[in-house]
Amino acid sequence: MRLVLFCCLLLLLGCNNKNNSPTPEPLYQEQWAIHYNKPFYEAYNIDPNAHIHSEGVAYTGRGIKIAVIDIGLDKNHLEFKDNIINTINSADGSDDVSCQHSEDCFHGTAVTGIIAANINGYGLKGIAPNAQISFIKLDLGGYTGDDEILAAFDYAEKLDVDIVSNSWGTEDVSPVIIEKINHMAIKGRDGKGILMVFASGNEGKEVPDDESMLETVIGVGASDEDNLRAIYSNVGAGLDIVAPGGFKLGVTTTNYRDDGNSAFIKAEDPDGFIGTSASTPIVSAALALLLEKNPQLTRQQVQQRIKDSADKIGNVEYIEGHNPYYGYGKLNVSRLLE
Amino acid sequence: MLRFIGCLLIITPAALADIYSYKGQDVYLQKLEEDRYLNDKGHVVGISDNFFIKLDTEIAVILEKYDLQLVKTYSNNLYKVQPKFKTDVLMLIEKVDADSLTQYAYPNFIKKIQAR
Repeated sequence: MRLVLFCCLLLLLGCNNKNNSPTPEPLYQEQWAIHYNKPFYEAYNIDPNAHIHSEGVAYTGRGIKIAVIDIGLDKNHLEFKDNIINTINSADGSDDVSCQHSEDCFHGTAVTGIIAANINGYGLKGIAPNAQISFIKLDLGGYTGDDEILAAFDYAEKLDVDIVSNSWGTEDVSPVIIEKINHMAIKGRDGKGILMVFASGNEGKEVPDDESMLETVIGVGASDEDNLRAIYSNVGAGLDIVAPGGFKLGVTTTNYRDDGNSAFIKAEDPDGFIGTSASTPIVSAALALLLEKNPQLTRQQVQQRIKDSADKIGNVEYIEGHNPYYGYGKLNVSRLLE
Repeated sequence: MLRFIGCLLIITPAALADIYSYKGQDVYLQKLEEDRYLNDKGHVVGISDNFFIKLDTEIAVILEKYDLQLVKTYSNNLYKVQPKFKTDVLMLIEKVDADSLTQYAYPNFIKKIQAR
């Protein structure tokens, strides 16, 4: 009888822990950005603190809605197909977010996998594997009208999301877009403010007029395997935080394939997913964990938590906690959730 | 001669630029080629034949007053409109922006956007 009860208890614990336990994922050891794996770290000479200290956290992003605005998505990817609650094409309002004939087609799938890859034994562990994803397709292939950018934000606002993850930018944000971003960051989420997360870009320069530098935005730069700012990561007074984006190694994530087979981009692949585009969903997902823990936090309180919890890396001076190359420091998920 | 050069320097920015107005402030655009401009921050932009209007009153009044058609309604009283007839969009934006019924009018810029 005791044995039966013990087995039931084990079964129950197993069910409750379904998307939270360290289920073996074939590519988990390659996810250097989110946890320390000794053999992998030593093989690639990675600084032991290059990751975001997210292993063992009790949150999975459950109940949190994230809008990913990006170029296209493999919405049937086995790693996250059940997390996708909406797909919208900002150009025509349809649900078609597929992407063909562009070398950037992988981008939205890679971003989404970092956030939401399920713990299913198939490949990867997302940082917020239970977050709900609304994917909004925006043409990032060249020149785009402010009207289409505005439409993408409008859809995100109407979907009542908590976080908007933007691995893109223009370096030249218009007043009409600033007004929209500020409106969402102040009035959204029932007045608590939607968390607008933007990549700072990969040209190694100052970008004062970029979306990522706005005060109401959480601007994200990239750190590398040496636990330093990645040399390509754009800088500025509006930068809030850095997170792994890689330099020689990419961030292991999901890939887009138009043959119907789900796929992955591994850290050491020659065309790896490197850049502030990879850092941004890491931060968005971490913030989903924070909102799951405390849904009542306002956008300003979240920004304060980022300031207070980030690791001051880089052996540089942080004036009033801030450095233009590192923002308030590097994301530390364990401390963020304390 | 110096006075002449001085006059040239003073008039050059305005003479070589197209102007639109945003909340009553003139903003200069340097024309590069057909539909391509260098904006005040040094970025190359295109300009659509439609533009944005923000206002507190009914949009119908503005549409009729300036021969515009409504293309799209966004949240927060923002609209995308298009002239019914071919016209200089920047000049029209300047007029609509100055209208006391509007909060502002603003071009629909087409700009470089990058996945990062």
